[in-house]
Amino acid sequence: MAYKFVSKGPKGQITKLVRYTETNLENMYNLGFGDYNKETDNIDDEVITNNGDSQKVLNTVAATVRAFSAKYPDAKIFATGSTIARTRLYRIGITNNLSEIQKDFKVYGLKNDTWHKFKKGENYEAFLVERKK
Amino acid sequence: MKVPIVRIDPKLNKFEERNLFPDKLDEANRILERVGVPGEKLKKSTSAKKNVLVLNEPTVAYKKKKSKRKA
Repeated sequence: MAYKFVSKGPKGQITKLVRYTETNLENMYNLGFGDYNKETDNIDDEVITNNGDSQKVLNTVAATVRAFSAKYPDAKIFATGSTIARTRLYRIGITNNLSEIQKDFKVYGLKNDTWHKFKKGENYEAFLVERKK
Repeated sequence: MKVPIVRIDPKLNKFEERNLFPDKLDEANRILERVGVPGEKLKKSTSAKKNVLVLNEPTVAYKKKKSKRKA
């Protein structure tokens, strides 16, 4: 399933696309996210947009997680940034909204090849969220 | 809090058939294959611990009793 939204800022209007793709594990989806390039009809997940609205963009991606998991309540969502800096940005986004997120979701962080319950202040390589039953 | 306006756009269906982030998906599959999912790992470690307790304790007790009888 794909979600599209528009980032508006000093660089103009940039179309963003969030895509949930099935992994090899049942009910496990990978969250992919990037800028939509109209010319190539493709998504670039490594481009640095700098449109001054990264927090808003992150919140909108989070909104798609809610929408997706509402439609597929058994789905587990795996996410990692395309760079270390982006993974850190995801971590900050989760940290800033952790209590709100944890009302409805279980949140895990991957560290040293082990899943841990997400804790503020810890560095993680990837994240996994699933809707609470 | 602002409620986002969402509308269904059938144009997005064209992405269903395409793997937009092949590298990231490969990486996700590699990681998941290696580490599994949180629940699974927890279940495995719990049952392994239970197995040790159930199998070892009666065996030890039985051997002790037997050796006493011999003496």
